Amino acid sequence: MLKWTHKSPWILLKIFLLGALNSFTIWAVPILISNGSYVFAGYFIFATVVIDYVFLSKKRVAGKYIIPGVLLLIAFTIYPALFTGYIAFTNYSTGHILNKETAIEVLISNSYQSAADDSAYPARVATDNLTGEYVFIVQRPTGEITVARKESSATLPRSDVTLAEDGTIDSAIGFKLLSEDEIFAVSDVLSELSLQAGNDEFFKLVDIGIVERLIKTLEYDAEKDIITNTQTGEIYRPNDRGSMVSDSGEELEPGWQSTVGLYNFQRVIEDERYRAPMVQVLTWTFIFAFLVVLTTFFAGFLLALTLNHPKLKAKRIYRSILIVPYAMPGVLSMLTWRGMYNEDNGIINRIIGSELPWLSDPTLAKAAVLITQLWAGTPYMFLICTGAIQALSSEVIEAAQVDGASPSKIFWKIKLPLVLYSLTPLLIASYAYNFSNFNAIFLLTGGGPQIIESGGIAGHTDILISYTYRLAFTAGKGNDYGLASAVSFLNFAIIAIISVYGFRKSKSVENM
Amino acid sequence: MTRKRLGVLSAIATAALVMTGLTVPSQASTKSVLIWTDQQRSTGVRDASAAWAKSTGITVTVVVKDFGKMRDDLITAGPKGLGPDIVVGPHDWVGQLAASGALQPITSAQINRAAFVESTIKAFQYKGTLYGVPYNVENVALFVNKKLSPTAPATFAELEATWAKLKAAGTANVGLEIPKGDPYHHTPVFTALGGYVFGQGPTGWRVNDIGLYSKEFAANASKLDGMFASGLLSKSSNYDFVQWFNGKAPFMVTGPWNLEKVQKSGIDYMIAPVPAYAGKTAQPWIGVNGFMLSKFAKNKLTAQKYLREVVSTSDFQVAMFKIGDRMPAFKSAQADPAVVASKDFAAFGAYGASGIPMPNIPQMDKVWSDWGNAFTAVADGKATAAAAFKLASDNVKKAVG
Repeated sequence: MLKWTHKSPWILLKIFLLGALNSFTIWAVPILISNGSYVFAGYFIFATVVIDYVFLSKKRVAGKYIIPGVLLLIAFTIYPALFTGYIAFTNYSTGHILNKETAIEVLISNSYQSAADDSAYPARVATDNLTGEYVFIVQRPTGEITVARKESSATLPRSDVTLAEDGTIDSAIGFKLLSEDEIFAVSDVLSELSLQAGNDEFFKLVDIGIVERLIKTLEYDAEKDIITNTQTGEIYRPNDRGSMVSDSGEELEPGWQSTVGLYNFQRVIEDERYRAPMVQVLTWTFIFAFLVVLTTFFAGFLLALTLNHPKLKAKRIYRSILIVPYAMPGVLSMLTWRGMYNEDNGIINRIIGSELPWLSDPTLAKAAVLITQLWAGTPYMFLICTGAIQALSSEVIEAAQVDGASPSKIFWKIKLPLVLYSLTPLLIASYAYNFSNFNAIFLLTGGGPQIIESGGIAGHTDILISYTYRLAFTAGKGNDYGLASAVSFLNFAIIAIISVYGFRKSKSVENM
Repeated sequence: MTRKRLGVLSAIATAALVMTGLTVPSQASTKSVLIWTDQQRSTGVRDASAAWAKSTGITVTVVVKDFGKMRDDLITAGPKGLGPDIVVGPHDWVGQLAASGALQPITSAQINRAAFVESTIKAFQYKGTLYGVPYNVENVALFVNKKLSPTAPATFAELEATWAKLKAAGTANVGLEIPKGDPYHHTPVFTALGGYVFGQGPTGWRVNDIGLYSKEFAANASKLDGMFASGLLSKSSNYDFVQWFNGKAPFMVTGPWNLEKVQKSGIDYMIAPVPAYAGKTAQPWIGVNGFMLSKFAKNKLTAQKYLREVVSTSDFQVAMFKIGDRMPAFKSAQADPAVVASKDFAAFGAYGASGIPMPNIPQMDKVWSDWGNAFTAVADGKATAAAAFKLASDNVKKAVG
């Protein structure tokens, strides 16, 4: 028997948590498989097996600490990054959401049109007693009774059919008529069923006892992979960007999702509408990130120096107040600032008695963004500078004072280099952060005012990431995830290069 | 040791099985309809469907979704089998939804199109195919403060004369109050001056024919400058319509969503068409709400039945009218005593008959900001109407081309 020891509650907890994980996997995997998410299902099984193995093992102590984090990292960071990278090479956008098979099914099924204005006929759904296939037994207005099948249609002699009092078919020899409940039970099959009505026409179910006579305007030839319009004879062929296109250039909607190679990148570089604002946006992104780091660092550093002065009283109160902008939720403060910049009623214009168009003039809007970031970013710099200054050895500074260095010399030659030395990695990180500081732009100016030449796609204060957002959701027709992914791919590449280069540099500084 | 290990393992297995057993597998009944609506319409749809659900034994499930997300959710969730059978939304969603293959066409046997007001059916058509069953219509109209203008102006010249008189007397601050830079509310004036957004062809909107700076509007552009210069059109108005509600503007352009506020304000008002400019009709946009059938509906047959037997009935549309304060799209519902009794809705409806359905093509999304910027620039005096609208037109051509 197992003995009850002080460890037992923890073992029970472990059993409970692992049991919960396993039961969650057992529950989730069939659902994921039925939704066609094989990758996720596989990953769930893999992750569960690995965790079970590691935690049931007596050894693998290091694994117990590392494995859960790594599994989550793969699921929530690495996978989305790879997925974004993949999307950049596809045409995923409004009109290109479905896969090819479904898109063609939709095209064909949506191409059914009423054969005439009044083409709804009373009908019964039935199964053939011999073959078991579904048929529609239709009463045409002429009194003729048609049996519509998948491959053919035939006229049924009146003598084979008995009618009910209300004139609908009550029974038919050779067929088993379906009741309303039986029809509902297989309605998913029946609602998409189109059966031959003769003369290239079809019957489809409109309601329980009604079919509609339809013509099919598009025909798909799977072997040749072409769609033909049966009315005009026009032929549509697939292009390499996931659409069926006719020779005259008419495109059928919807298209499908497909890989398009470097097409999205090509658009960013070659299309005047994207390239011109792209250069401007990229330039501003570098300037913005650089100025934000520069101004917030100096403001934070000077505040830290001031508040570190030995003669200053009530330091704690000042420090607490200075943390406020940092502690405030960014969404809230950005919206507040936006209100303060309002041209007519904003407090800034009222205080300085001006009518400056803060958010609608390109230069002022850029200034507004920088001022707001100075306010929001300084507390962070203040915090880390305070830490760095307090870590400075007082002996070095005293030695400089003894040697007769002036305070400004001590600042420029000793304090600043020493603080910079320890903070360089953080400044690089801050640069990378501000490079993609979406909230700072989107919530304050929304990227505006617009760059008029760009046709409203980009704004003067847009940085790469907010420009990406606009490309994805507001430019052209609908949402263009492929193009946006391509731009964020570029964004990622730039940040990666800056960070790697920066950290290399700072390492060489450290080694000096 | 091995016995202990075995014990732990079996305990885990038992725990896992017990917990799995606790989750009840859900089975979708085929005798049901799943509808997505926003919060505002949800109770209305639920109540108005209750009788039908009871008599047919079909369960109607109404799920409340965030209005702003519904369209995109339908596009992405539908093909995965996670979408609804029916969505309730405005007709200008149809373009993006149909282009993404998310909607099932409504064929002519499914509903009797002739029973609906023609423009509402047109509104739900995309490239010649119908993709929804309309249930109500909304459009802006002219609200007249009867104290300042006892009669509704029959022509735009009359409207301008009334403003000139009131301005001289100092009893009004603005003539025709319209939210600054809002193209939707400016549309009647814009169309009266000869402008349009997309041209119309036999099968729908012509994307390459952009009329933001049409020949006719170009000839009239200076008139728009004049309207802002004379103070007829407001340079600082917003959606609060402060001047009109303070009795300092004889006219404003707004829609039924402000009706309750107007009635509460105690101002003696009437609703009239925005008058024609030199014989050219001032056409408003028509917004139509309706029920759209998902291409990937699990219960297509019951959903089609619902559209036929519930949405396409006078009773349902009148019930929705009582909740939503919008003109029904069904002809016989418009003739219902409850609807006819509302003088205001008769006036909205009469003016709406001259309107144009807001384009439902995806390219329309691209027009709003440039078009609105043009109005703002003219109101601010930063550009002449000719320059501002030519620029907007060029930008839109670039963006949709």
